Amino acid sequence: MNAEKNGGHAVLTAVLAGSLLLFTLMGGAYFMSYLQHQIFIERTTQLNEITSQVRVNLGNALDSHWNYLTAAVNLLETGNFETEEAMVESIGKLDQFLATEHYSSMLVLLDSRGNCYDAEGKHGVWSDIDRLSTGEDRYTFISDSYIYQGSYWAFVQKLAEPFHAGAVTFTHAVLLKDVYTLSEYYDSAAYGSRNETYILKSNGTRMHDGVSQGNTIQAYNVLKVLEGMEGQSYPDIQAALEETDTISANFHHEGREYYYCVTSLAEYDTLLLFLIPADFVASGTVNMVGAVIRMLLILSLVLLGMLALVAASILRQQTSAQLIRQEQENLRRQEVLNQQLEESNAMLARSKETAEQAFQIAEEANRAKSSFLSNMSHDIRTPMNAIVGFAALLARDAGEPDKVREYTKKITSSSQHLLGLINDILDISKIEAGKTTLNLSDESMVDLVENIDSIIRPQMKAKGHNFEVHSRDLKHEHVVMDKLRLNQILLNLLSNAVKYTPEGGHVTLTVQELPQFAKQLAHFRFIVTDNGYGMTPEYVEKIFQAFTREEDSVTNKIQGTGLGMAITKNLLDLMGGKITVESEKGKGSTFTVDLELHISEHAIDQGFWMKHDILRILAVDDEEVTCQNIQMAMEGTGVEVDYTLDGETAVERVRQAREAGRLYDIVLLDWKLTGIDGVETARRIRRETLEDPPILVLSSYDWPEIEEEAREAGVNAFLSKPFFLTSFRQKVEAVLNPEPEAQPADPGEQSILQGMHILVAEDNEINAEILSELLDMTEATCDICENGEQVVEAFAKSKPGQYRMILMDVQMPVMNGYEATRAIRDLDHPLALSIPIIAMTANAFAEDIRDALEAGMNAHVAKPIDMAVLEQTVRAVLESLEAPEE
Amino acid sequence: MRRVSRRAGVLLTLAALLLLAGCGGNGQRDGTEGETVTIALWSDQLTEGYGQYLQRTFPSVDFQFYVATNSADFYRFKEQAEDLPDILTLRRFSLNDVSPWRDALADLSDSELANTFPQAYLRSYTYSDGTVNWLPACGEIDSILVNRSLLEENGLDIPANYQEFLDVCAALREKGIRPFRSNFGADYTCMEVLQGLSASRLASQEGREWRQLYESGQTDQLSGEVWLPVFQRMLDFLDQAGLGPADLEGSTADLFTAYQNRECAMIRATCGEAGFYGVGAESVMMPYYGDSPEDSWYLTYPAFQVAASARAEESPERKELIFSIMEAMLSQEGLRHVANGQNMIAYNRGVELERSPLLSGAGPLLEANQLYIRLASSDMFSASQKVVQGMLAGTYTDARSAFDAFNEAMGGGGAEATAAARIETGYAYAFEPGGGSPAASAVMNTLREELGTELLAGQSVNVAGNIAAGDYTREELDFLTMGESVDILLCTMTGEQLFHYLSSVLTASGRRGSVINDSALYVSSGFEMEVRRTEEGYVLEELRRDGGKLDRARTYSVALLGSELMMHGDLLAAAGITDYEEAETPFKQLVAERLAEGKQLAPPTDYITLH
Repeated sequence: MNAEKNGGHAVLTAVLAGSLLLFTLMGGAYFMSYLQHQIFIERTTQLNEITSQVRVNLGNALDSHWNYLTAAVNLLETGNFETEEAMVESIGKLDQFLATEHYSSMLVLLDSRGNCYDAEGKHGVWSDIDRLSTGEDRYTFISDSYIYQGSYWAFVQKLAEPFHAGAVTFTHAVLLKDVYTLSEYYDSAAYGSRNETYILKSNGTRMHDGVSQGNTIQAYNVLKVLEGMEGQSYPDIQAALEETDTISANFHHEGREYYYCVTSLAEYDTLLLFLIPADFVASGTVNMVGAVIRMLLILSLVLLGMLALVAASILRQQTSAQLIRQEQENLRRQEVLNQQLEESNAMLARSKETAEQAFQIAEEANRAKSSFLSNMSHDIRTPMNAIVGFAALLARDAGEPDKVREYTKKITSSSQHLLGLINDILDISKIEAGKTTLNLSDESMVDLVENIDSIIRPQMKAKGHNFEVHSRDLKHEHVVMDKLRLNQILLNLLSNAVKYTPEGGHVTLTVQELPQFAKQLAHFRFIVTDNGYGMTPEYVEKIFQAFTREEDSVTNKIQGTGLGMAITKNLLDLMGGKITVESEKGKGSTFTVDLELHISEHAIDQGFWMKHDILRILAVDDEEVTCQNIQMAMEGTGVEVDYTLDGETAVERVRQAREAGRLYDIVLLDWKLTGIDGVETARRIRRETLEDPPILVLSSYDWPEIEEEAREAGVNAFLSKPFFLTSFRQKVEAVLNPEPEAQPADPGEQSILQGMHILVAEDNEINAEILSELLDMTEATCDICENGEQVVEAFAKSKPGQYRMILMDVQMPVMNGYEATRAIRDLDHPLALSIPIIAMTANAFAEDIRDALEAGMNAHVAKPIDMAVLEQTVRAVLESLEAPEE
Repeated sequence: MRRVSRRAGVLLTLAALLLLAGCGGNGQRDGTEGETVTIALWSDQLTEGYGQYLQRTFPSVDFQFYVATNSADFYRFKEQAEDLPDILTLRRFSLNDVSPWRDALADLSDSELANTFPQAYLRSYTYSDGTVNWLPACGEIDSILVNRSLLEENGLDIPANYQEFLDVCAALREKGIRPFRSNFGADYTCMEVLQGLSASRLASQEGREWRQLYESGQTDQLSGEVWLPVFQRMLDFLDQAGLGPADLEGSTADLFTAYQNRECAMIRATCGEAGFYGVGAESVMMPYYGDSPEDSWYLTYPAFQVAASARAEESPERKELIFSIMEAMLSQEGLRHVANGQNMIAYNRGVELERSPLLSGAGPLLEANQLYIRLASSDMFSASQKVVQGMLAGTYTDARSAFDAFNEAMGGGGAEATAAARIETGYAYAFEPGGGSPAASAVMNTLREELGTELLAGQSVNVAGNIAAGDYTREELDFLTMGESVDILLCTMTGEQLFHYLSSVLTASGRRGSVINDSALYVSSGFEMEVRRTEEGYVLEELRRDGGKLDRARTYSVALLGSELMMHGDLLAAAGITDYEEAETPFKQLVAERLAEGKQLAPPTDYITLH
């Protein structure tokens, strides 16, 4: 990591250094280019200035010579020359007068043949005579005539009136000026006298021969050579000079840079070209710039050095900082490590503590288990002791039928207790192992409560308890639930209430629907209240823990496993519900269960009431809450509900309704009313009215006791409290569409199993024998198979109708009951699909029931076999199979 | 000028010819075959030694020489055919004549070569924009060659001025000696005598100003003020010197023969010619006389001008080579081969030529710069010839008529000429060792057909380069062959004599018509030659005819084409031939007229095998 970081720093440093170097180089290059350009501008500007001055000076000088010549001609015109000699003499005098020699010049006259005459006489034809043929009055050029050695500026004036001297006619006056004496005008000191001067004709050709000796450009056409020089920026100097009088530029020749300046003396058809090595142009400026550059270079070097030092310092600092950071990092890591160590120590301490706690818990659990085992041992041994003891007594007193019945009854009781104990142990084990799943289905809350009522009420009655069931605000009767588990929960609570309430106590079950939290969920609250022994607050805290029972002198005598509340709590957790308990020792307990259940999608037939023209109902109950419950339950049905709290008012209401022509279609009466009771009220209603609206009695009491009297008084049907719409509807339908009453079976006289031949799969020989005997008691017969394979084979070989049903054990060798059932259903037997198969197994959990049904069985009966349960199950199975399919 | 629109065909054909011949101006310089450089010689004079000098100086260069017509019109013809030689030489020069096609020439103004010339000489070659295409070789002195001894023998002094000149003429005539002769059959002598006799007049202020107008193109007519006296003096002189129609005949050789035979005391000549014909110390070159000795003028002009085709500038290497050759041409060594080491005036610095002994008395005049440079435009040549010959013939008897005729001739030549002939097949000039020059062979075969001889021999340089297919004017037909017409001798020879003669010709040196290199070898028609090139020169090995060896014993009718100086000398005699006759019709006329009659050139043959 550090290496990568260091590498990254190195790359960054290199990039920065490279960028700095590149920037420096590019900046330097740009700066140098800029300087060179500025130097170029400075040089050309200087050259232009100097050359312009030279041009003016030279122009003035040339003009002055013209003045000079004009003066000479004027003087000559005044003379009268007889002969050539006289003319020559006059020229000599004029030279003296004008001091031409002093000015390195001379006067010359040309005759019509082109011969030259000067102070010394006649000299032959002037070699430049051909230049004087264009008809001009004045000519200015440089003459290289061999007559006069050297190069001369020639100022030639054509004489307006030729002079005649004897036979000679003089046509031109010429002033020759030594070309080098004019060099003072252009060999300017400003050039450092390093310049080469070229006097050219306008077309670029040299005007004379002498001055080009040793010059840089050795050519006749100097401008053309110049235009071809390397780096030359004027490819056509003549054209450029048409735009301006003077141009300056540079070029390179044989590795040396030169500057040149060309200026035009247009009036003399002349160009002046100055050529100077670059070193001598604006040398002061260049030297100054050079010094500045050197200084800048030195400064740059110093700056670079300083930058290097700074960079080194930064690098060192970075290195130090890095070291510090590393050190800090190390310290931090050390701190972290220390902290982790401390935490580890703390964790170790906590672990130790936890371990100790766990140990304590384990010990406690161990103790609890030991205690439980001790209790269990006690609880198991107690009924077992009773069974074994009474069995012994049964053997001894077999001849005394009363004792036999007494002993058998007690053996059965102890066996039932033992069986419940085993079921609870298995239940809690399974729940705690997380293997319990809910078996959800659309169910009716009415059915649930009625089922519980029917189960627990006998126990309440047995202990003389006053048991009341209330319903409040129920709007959703059909919900999705695990009916068995909810049943188990409520029965646990009610069983405890039965058990832990002294005889003649009061137990209430209230079913209430609370406002919904969610549209799809109905919020139910179940409240079980008793006025029993109550519990200590300490025990209430751990009431839902397994294997706990309040050690109490009273309760110790009550049979219990200590698992019921733990099972209840765990099942509610599984269902997403909660349970609370309020209890006071000696005053009783209240268990409240809150549970949200999905509202069933099964639509209630709301059109039922309209179909039967039921528009108005009169409810009569001295508890207004009950009346309001009825009102609430009937909301949405289109039925108007009036209620009264006593019988007299009810009768009056009925009469008033009749008089008003708005009859009540149904009257729902409570049995126990303040004042006249329900039966009497019914009787008066029947008497007061000619109509006979159906009268139903709502009662939480056992109504068979009053059934006969009530029917006589005109009551059509009875309805159990609490009021459930479904039950009410069913009762109304029964009243409006009475069916011939089925003859109730006499269970004591004839079992449904009577005469049946049953195929039984049971691998346990004892169980097989017991079952065989029990069936025999019902006058049924059976064939026993030891495993699934045998039972499949037996059924396959059977004739249709040979076996009425199959009782199938599940856990069997060779082939279990599920596989055997599937095999049977797959057989090519006429009854393979229709023969009832009932699981008969010790696997008694909900999952087991589900598995059995999925395997193709019709029902499930748990072992040990309770013949009543078996008969009830068989009846239900057969009825379902015989019922026509919808 | 006189052109007809036939250029496209000529150009295409010529381009094809050049490709076939592989002799374009841009020959490859591969170190073995060397660069090909075509040089048009203004005269076959330059075959005497000048060409040989160049070949020796640049041995690796494959020179293609031919003799051109000494006229700016010839080069204009070549330029329009895009067939300019790499190096041009021209004696008859005026800037006006060459300026129309100046862009086809290389600019020499920035060259080191041009820099060697004083600007006073370069001025007349410089265009207004500074361009210089032509550079002059050394200057000829062209004046009156006087046989001093003859005069002295007759008690006469050498005249010092014009009047004395006339007096001497009269005296000589009285003594039966022709006082003065010139080859008036040639245009240049007509022009030079006309201008030379009035040099003083023409060099005067008026004369110079008119010349300036004329040379700058501002006029093409003579000035009466200047020129009427010129014609008057010419008439006077012709009369005084006894010149007449008879003087229209004869050649330069005849003239010098008469002079050296003392039949004539004075002739128009150049120092170069005098040297060439071996004029001795008894003669003196006198100026054209003016009214006074100081007013007498020597007439002068460059022996020739040199220029380079603009193709030379296509690559630096090529330019360097061409300029090097030109430098050699204008160097002292080169000029020595022009003027035999003397008789010329050097123009450029660094060249010192000996002054001819004939000019021993000319010092004062030369120092006084009494040198008149002839006005030598093409029109001036032709008009002078017409008018002076007219004067001699008696057509123009007064100055005015001569003057008018001259002006008429000056301005009357501008009519568009029509095609006189069409050449269907073009031929390349370049020499091939396995067959020779197709163009030269075609011309020689044509000539033999016209002459009707069995055999013919001539020099390839007598043909002026490539012959393009296309339409030709009458003047352009003359451009197919060399400008100065060579002699044609008709005779009978045995095969052996022919062999002997040709062997001598091939090895002759320093003569007009000497072989320079392969391109200047002789051409045979009616027979073939086997020639071997050796270190010493060319050796004729065998002559063949009709597939076999030429019968040495048999006599053939033969036409020999060449310089009279070559043939009339000892070579023909050495071969045993003394009996011959000269063809009446000149060489170039025979060729041109055949074509003008609608006939074609005879097809070329493989006439030579060069080993």
